[in-house]
Amino acid sequence: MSTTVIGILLLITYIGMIVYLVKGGNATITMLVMGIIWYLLSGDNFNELIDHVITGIVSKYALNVVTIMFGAWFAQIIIQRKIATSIIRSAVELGGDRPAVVSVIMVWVIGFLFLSLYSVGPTIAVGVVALPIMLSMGIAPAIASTVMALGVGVAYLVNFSQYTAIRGLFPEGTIPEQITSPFVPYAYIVVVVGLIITSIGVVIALKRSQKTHSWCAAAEIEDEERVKWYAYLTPLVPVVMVLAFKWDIFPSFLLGIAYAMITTWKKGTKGFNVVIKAFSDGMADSGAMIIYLLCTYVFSGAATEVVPIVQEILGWALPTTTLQMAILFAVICPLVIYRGPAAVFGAGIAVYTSLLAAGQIPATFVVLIALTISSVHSSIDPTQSVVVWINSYTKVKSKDFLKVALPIGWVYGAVGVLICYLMHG
Amino acid sequence: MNFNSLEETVRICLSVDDYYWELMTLSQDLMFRFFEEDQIPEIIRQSALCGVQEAERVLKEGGGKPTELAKEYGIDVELCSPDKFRNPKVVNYAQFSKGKTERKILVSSVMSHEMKRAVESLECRERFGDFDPVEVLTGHELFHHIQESKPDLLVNTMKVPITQLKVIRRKITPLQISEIAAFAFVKRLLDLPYYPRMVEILGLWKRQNTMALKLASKLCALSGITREAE
Repeated sequence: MSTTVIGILLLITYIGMIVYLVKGGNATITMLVMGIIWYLLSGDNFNELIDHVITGIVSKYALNVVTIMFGAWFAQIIIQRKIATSIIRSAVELGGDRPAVVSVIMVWVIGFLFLSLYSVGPTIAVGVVALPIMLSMGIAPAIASTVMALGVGVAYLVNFSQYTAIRGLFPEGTIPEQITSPFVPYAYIVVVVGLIITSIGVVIALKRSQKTHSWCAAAEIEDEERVKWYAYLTPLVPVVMVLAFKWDIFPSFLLGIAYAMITTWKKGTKGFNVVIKAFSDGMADSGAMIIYLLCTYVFSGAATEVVPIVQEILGWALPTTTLQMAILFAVICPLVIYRGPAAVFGAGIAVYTSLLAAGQIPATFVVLIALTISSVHSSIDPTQSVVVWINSYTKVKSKDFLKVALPIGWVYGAVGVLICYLMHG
Repeated sequence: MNFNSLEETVRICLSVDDYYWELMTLSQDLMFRFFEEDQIPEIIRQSALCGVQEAERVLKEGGGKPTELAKEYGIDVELCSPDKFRNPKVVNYAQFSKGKTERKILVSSVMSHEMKRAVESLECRERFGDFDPVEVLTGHELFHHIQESKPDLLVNTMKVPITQLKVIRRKITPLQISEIAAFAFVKRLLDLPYYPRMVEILGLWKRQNTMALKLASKLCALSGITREAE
């Protein structure tokens, strides 16, 4: 088959994927099927296909999977020891009687928690506490959803599990295993800026929203016993150990688990039972995420195989300098929605790997932009599992969510890209 | 406390003084645990008085049914299905919303129907007088319109001193005081022989019985009513 024909078939399947996802199709199966189709279009025979799709995935990405499992274990400890709920309730009380202040506090608290928490399970555990509080204060559901989604998504930029997951999407060696310069301090600066932008965006949205008073039979927000204040530092433990003491991620998570158990210990606590149960719950919780990731790795691997074809057909459209790339991605940042061409966990992986393969833009710059835009993707894509759960809980339609979240996410993404250009362009 | 039937539950709740209904409302404030015990009665008294004073002002100006008053004030009143409310996740009774150009009161058609049906099934229905849940719900929301139109109304300006983390001292305006005032407003405006939140128990009884029982139990716990005492 000629390159042009293959290119056309790639484009047709690509558009078909986007349409299917927009209509609510299953993202996991989509990634897997797309990967298989693109591997076949790149010229794989049956044996090569099996190797790429099954054997290669298992052997190549085992470390990524275990990292996510440890992250999920740590997250369950934070949730089951009531550390997350204590942090949220205490933070909300500082805002007290003002919905705008409470919203801003929630952005930062959720961001703080999701430095370490990852995926849908912890989102649910945090959301069932944070969202009813915001809704009971008269904050519009679409704004409450935005607070939660952007708090999570912005923090994901420096989340170790997310970093590991994205690392697997790129060719080996592109993103270092150890979290070090230039990722640090760039990503942490962008997270702080992102939370500031989100806070401002949420306050503006609140000012514009209709003032509403509701007489309703809301569920009672039960006030449970709080943990001691020093337990509140638990989410920071792995972060400090990795960044300050250069520990590996696994012992860092284990230390975090030990710290959480010690600081929340009460008479009668059956420590081993708690830890083992948390491990088991974490595995159950991260299972769907892991299988989705593995299927996405199939697609990203296939996207790497077709890079020469993509370059031949679309090479003229790809940026060749850091400035061009920064401008392009600042503008197309919203195309992360429905896993579009800017989304690393979507159609965008072909774009990023093409840029890497072209070699005209430093790999570091491409990767940092990809990580930043991926954070935007995690915040605002209505097909992202975290966003799906949040909106189903608040009963917010995707279009209403995007009206609030997309402008904020776009500004965050554009500013993040600008910072990347200023620091590493 | 066990509530065997709606009839029994209603009779018990009708006997509870308004103060305890107001206390129950205030206890739902997120900041309630920071209020000093000796502050609470005064917070409740002032909030309720605010609502009563506004009702008396409206009555002096001619009074009328809340749905008609709403029309005079340029507010649309709509009887609607549950999905029209801003937060359809919860059981909504009524809602007041104020935008740049429009003001609207939504009243739940489902809940007002349930409330009416519940009263009609009671032997003690005469204690509810000429029961019209739509007017009760609209009247409550009408207070919020007044509240939004008068920034210097007491429920917008009342400051309650609290201490947090032993060192942070500040003053807050509890969100629930406007609800206490709104209930007092509609009770005075319509001269209701029952506390307005009674309609919640009526509306929830059939479809959300657990919530209705929880409400009634909490009320009795606050007022110290036990089966023996009753």
